Amino acid sequence: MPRPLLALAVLPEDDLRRAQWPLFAEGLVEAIEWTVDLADADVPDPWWAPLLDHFAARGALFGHGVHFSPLSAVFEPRQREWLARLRTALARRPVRHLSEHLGFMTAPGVLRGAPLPVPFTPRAVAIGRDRLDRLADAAGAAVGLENLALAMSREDALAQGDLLEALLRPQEGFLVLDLHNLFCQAASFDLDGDVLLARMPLDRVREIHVSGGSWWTGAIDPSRPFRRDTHDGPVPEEVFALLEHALARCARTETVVLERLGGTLGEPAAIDRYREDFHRLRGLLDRVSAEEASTDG
Amino acid sequence: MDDPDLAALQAELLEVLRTAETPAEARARLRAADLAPDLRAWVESFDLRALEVAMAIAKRWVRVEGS
Repeated sequence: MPRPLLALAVLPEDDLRRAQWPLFAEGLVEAIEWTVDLADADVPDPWWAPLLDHFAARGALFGHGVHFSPLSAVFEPRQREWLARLRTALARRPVRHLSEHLGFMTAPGVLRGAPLPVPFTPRAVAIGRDRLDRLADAAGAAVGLENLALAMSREDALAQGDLLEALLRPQEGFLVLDLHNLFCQAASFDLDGDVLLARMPLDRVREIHVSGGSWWTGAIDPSRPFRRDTHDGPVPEEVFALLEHALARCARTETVVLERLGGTLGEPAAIDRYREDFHRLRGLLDRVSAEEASTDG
Repeated sequence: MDDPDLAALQAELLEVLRTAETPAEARARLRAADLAPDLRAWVESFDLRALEVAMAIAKRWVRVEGS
């Protein structure tokens, strides 16, 4: 397979800009994950706008939505407006493809939230397929879904791959394989990450996300901390290992994205580690691609 | 298209996660809710630790009209 492009997720915060800018300046960043919700954010002349234009012109801009809420059971005016803004944004700046998150975050009367799981039932699948159709119509590009970090049970975690396949099949949509999300489920429910990986529709993977997160200790069972996808730490070893395994199995991967939340890189050591993770990813992609090329040849 | 039964579950889940004080309270309220059988089965399967995390997420991120 062609070597996937190494991408950074670009967000407005200054600490992230400071961490990323040298990587852009050295020409090491090959693609950008663009959070399309920020397209019309109230940010005058954002620093990343010329970069978005540059990467869009090269076919290396990957759109990612956050607030559409594709599994909400009621299609709300808020979502209709979100799609209208998306259509406008992508007419100006085309993306290679567009993804959103599995799950729902809003309902009538609820203005915002975070992605929460849905049951794998025919009614949820029907809703998701309808929303993906709407998303594809507005985007004018291939659409996909990202696997979710939170599951309400071990069985939910094990079923998520089948749910994603059922949602994506009619649209021939793609999977954004978030390896830290997968690690969250494996670590929180005592599952083998490779087992979870194998249950995903890997032939649909076009984009892989890599990030860090944090451990959360609750009162129910303090001896078993939950892994959360908070995007505020370095990439764990387990995620690097999963990436090697995933790249070997996901032949259609077009990009690998390093994600990090802005406002979490206050210390110089954190910025150094962020850049180390980037360089390690770059080396890993080079090595895996070279090994595949030699095998194919 | 909408699904009224799934919508009822989602509204209840968001409200319970946002306002319950303990995972046990959240589970009891969800079990007492008027839900379609297939959705009730899902709610019954919830892991209490996952419910606790979901509550933390909802309390951090969910914003309702008028809040």
